[in-house]
Amino acid sequence: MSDQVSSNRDSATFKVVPAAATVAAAPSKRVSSTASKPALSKPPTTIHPSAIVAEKAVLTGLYHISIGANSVIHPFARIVSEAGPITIGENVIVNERAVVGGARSSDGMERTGDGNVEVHIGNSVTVESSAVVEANMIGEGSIIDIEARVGTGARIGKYCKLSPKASVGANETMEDFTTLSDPGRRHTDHLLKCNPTVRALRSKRQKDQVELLRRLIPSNLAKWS
Amino acid sequence: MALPFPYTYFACPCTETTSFSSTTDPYSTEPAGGAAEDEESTFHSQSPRANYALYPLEHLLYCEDCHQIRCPRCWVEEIMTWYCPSCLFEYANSMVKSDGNRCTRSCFNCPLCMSNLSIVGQNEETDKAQEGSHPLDKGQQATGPYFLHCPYCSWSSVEIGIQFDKGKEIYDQLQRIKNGGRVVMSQKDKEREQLKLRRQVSRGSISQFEEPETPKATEKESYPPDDRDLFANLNAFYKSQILESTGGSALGGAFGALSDYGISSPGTLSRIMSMYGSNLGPKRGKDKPAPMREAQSEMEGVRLTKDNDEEKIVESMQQMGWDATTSQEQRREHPDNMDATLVSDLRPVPTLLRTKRSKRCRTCRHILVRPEPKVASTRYKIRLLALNYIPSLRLRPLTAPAALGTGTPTSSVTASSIASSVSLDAIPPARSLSLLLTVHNPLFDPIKVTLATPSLTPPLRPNAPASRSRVTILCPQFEVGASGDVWDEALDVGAKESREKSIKDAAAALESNASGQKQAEAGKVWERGRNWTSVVLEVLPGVVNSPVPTARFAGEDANVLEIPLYVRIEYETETGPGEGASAVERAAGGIKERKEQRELEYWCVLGVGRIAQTA
Ligand SMILES: [Zn+2]
Ligand SMILES: [Zn+2]
Ligand SMILES: [Zn+2]
Ligand SMILES: [Zn+2]
Repeated sequence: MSDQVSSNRDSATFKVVPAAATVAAAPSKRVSSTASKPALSKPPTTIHPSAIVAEKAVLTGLYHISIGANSVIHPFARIVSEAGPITIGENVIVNERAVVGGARSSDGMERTGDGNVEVHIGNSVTVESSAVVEANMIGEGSIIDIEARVGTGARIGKYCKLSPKASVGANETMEDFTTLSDPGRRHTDHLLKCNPTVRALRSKRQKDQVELLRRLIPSNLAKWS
Repeated sequence: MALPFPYTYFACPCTETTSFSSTTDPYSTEPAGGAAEDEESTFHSQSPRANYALYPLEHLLYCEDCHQIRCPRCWVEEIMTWYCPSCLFEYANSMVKSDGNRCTRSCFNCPLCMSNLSIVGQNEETDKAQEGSHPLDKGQQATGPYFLHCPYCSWSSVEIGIQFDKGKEIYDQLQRIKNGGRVVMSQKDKEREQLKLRRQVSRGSISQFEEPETPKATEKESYPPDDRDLFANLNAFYKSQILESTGGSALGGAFGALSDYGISSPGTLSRIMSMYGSNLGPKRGKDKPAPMREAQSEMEGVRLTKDNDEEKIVESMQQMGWDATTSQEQRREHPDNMDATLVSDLRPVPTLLRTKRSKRCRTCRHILVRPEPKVASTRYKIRLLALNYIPSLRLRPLTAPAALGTGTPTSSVTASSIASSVSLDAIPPARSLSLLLTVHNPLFDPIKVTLATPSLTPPLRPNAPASRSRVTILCPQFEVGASGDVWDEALDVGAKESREKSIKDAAAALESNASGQKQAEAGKVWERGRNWTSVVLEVLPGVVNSPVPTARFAGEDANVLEIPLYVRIEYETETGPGEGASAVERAAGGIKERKEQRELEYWCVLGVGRIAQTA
């Protein structure tokens, strides 16, 4: 029992550290991008014509950014390819103030080009508000909830869910159908795992959501071409 | 303490009735006898007891009849309403007594993460998929089977094999389904069964336990009975034991039908009497009751631990890993889950009910707080907050360099060196510090305030007189204007003059600022507003040595500079015709309103900050 208690405490401290780091890292990120390059660098992009990228969305960095069909980048979402190329699949929704990629890892260090800095986001993934995704791989149908963090090089499986404020450290992996809640507890989502119909429904809902957003968010792809 | 610096805590006067005896106070430097005479004059802010007397002003109430501050120790709470925080259903007191303090409708919490579970109809989802409807369109009828689903951690009752036929009255349905989906008898059915059994027993069959229960036993063989079954069995067993020991005769049977063989039945009574062996019951001495035996089997309510039970648990823990085991919090959440080792043993937790409470003064029984009984309403019918009756004190460091000419020993220290950057988390020791204490008056009458403080604060360490801080209140007596409409001041002629005076003062202050700085003078108020007045406190913090591991109470508060402050306010108020006047006077009609002198005195503790430790 004492083991369990202590492990809870460990996970609690583990959780606090990256959150504090964001606060510290966020302004420095801004400083570095404005100080070294007065205008935001426009990255090379491949954006599917059916994707929705809001006027106020921020795509910046040096490496290639590709956005798949029917994906939605909300206003004030940031796709930062300063460390490596970023691939976003189909029907992905990236909400406002979320960051995908990023110049620095969560511990404030400059991310090195050891191969893990590439970011692949699978189909029908939702990145919620203020989430930070530096992961190497996010599997199909996963949800990164509000203010959740995925560290550099982490690999998230299919249909995973990070609960609000949950955090996955650098180079960690999460198996398919896993839910990670804030106290660091992992739990397999049996409903999704054993029910293909529920999964189908999930992707159906995602498509509906995208269609709804298409009506609400004016897209400006020309800005990035 | 929890609040950030600087803070003010108020001591409820009810603590005065319990004395701060020096035998329990490790910081008292006085001998044990000295405390008694000192008691009236000093509040031991460092005493461990003080923690139970001090409250932020916002937590205190005020009794209008006793004219006194009231704290949680001197008010009584009464439950007005029970309600479910999830569905806002109001539960009658009798329902809480019979059904327990949990929602018996359809509100459940997740056994893993404690967030609210939602009821999901499985076919609603497939329907939606087929229809291809827009997500904005609502009103689709969910159809069964239903299950509970946690939107936070995605736990679902499907995992423990529980589904429901109906989307309503989940509580009742859940009672009948065990983990894994096995349907058991409801409590009512069980009781009926027990009754039937008891009747058979009372009819006098010889093998009372084996025979009627054999069909039940075979049915149950593969599943161990749960706690409720065991308790029911045990209950039935002892009831029948009492019946048996009182003779089991036709007479006993007749009594049994009538009086349920409770402990107060005549048979039991005579048995107890015969146990004492007195000659009160010599007639029944002959047919001695058979001694009661203990329960022996599961049918009689005893759970026997099997040899391989624990091995099985260990084995399954090995197989399923850490995440499949339950945490202490999860087990504590509900009695049903107390024995659950694995996540698959957990059951959804019915939502705990909440209460709305009213508060009464313990002394005069008058109501201090009374919320509106309606569950959805957050308003109060009565709420006598101390905030509205006693002046609030606010402390802040005086950042403008203040003069130090009031007899503090280290007045040679240049004021500017302290001035700009006083960090309250590390107050430099032995350096004079000026603090501004602002007294706000919430009353509609002007008040006269008298402040007092011991010239030396209680020592922070036992036997360390150097850790005492010297405190001087530059202006201990002053007046604070009445609270009221902001426009009253503007329209009042008298106030106009005072305003002009304050403008002059401000001009003078500006002048002095130009030449040097505003001077804090002894006996003079620093600043004054409509219903507030500020005075200056000079503090010479004591010297605190680096951590003393041997000190018993040297915890996190060991170097916090706290100033005990005695506040006495006097004011004259108009009492209504009903209040304070006798019936005769009222009848005479001569007195419509009369002036009444009131005074209120209490101790406060001003938490200034932490004194930086010297090595
Ligand atoms: Zn009290
Ligand atoms: Zn409820
Ligand atoms: Zn949950
Ligand atoms: Zn009272």
